[in-house]
Amino acid sequence: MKITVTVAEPYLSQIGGVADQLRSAGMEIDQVLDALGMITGSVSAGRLAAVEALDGVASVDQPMGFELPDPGDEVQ
Amino acid sequence: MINSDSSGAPANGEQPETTGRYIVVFADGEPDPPGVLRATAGVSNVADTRDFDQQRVGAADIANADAMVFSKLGVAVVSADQRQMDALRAASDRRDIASVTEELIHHVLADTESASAGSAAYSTQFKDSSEYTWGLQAVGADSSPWTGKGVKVAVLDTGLDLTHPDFASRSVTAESFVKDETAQDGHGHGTHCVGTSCGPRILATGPGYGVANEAEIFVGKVMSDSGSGTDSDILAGINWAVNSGCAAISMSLGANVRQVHPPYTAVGKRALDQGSMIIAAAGNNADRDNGNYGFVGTPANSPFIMAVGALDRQLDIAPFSARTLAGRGGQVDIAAPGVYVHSSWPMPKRYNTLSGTSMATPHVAGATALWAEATGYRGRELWSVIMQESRRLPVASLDAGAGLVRAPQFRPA
Repeated sequence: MKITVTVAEPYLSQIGGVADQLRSAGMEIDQVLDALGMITGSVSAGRLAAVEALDGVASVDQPMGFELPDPGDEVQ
Repeated sequence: MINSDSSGAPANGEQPETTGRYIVVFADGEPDPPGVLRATAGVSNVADTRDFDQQRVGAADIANADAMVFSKLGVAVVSADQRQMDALRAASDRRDIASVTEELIHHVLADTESASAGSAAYSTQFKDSSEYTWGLQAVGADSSPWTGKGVKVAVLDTGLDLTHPDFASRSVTAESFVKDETAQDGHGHGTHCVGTSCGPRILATGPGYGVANEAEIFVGKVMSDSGSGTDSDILAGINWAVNSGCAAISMSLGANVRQVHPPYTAVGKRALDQGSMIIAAAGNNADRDNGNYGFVGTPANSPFIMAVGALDRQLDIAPFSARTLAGRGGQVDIAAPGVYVHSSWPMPKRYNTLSGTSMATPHVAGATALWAEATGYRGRELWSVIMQESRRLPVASLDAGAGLVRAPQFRPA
């Protein structure tokens, strides 16, 4: 499943190290967003608990989707 | 509650009562206010709050001195004859004195009648002129001396029509975060939003429609040509905008989800910490004509993201504009023109008129760029000045927050 990891504030300067630990815990990483302290990627359901338990992880959320109206709709 | 009418004539038409003394406001950071009073007007018996225990001063202390300087405020109460006042007034054109005004007598408010007296002043009907869209007129961009020059504004949306002639002379940095799509707008929504926030203000081919017409444009495509996007693309776009030093990040996107999405709480705060303010559409899930007021969805319901409601041409809340959601962060923070908004559209159509909180959001992003240029503020200070300077409306704060966003009107120093 796709996940978005929020890195905890005290770990923001070591986001690369947090990414390494996430990889070791079984997460496949798409992006490390250094300015925001977010890491996106995917993980198997069986590994999710291990990812959530890591030091430096503030929260793990499933990504949301967003939809715009069709270009011809009156209200955008 | 103390009432002051020192900013102008009282609403009831009566002359303000005065004490015969004067209030002198010194220039910011003036190190020696007593010295200024002595040198300028020969006021000699000057007391200074710094000479009193814990700077506590009573009425008798003020009465016993010709002038009492309130050091922490940079203000003095002065008893002076006409010749001395003339000297001080003449000095207010100089660097060390900001203003000289009569001391007013204030009264406890007897009732709240006067609070409603001004509402008639808001009854108005804006319309597009040949020079400016109604939105630019309503936010005061038409009369603002500020243009957003030197300020970077990111619009995270469906991209921009990079061939659009109205942007030919502009600094545009475009990046796509959508897989297999370029930043070229294949939808239209993004081109419309870039137009309102950063498009031209003066134009030969129709009304000017851009608030920050000299801002540096950062187009981040995070929504596909078919109009869909995901967190990971949006977050990548925000990360890029923050790293690029954008003072305003405009996001006319949202989902009708009440729950605050945790990533946007962290991201909104971290962006603000780094001087980037995220502005997002409150949402269009209301149907007010049928008694449904809707709610602010994610990501606008993050506590650190500014949620924008939509106003119509009478400055009333638009029927689709979402209402404040109970809970931290769920409030509508501010409102902007969002009904019948004329702006740019992919060629060959060139222009289109649309409604929605999506159209209100870039008005705020553009105004944010003007305030960033005018004040040098970023992040929380910028947020604060925009809230403080917005125009209060006779509309529920649940719907319009602090009111109509306004562009700075004061002249550059």
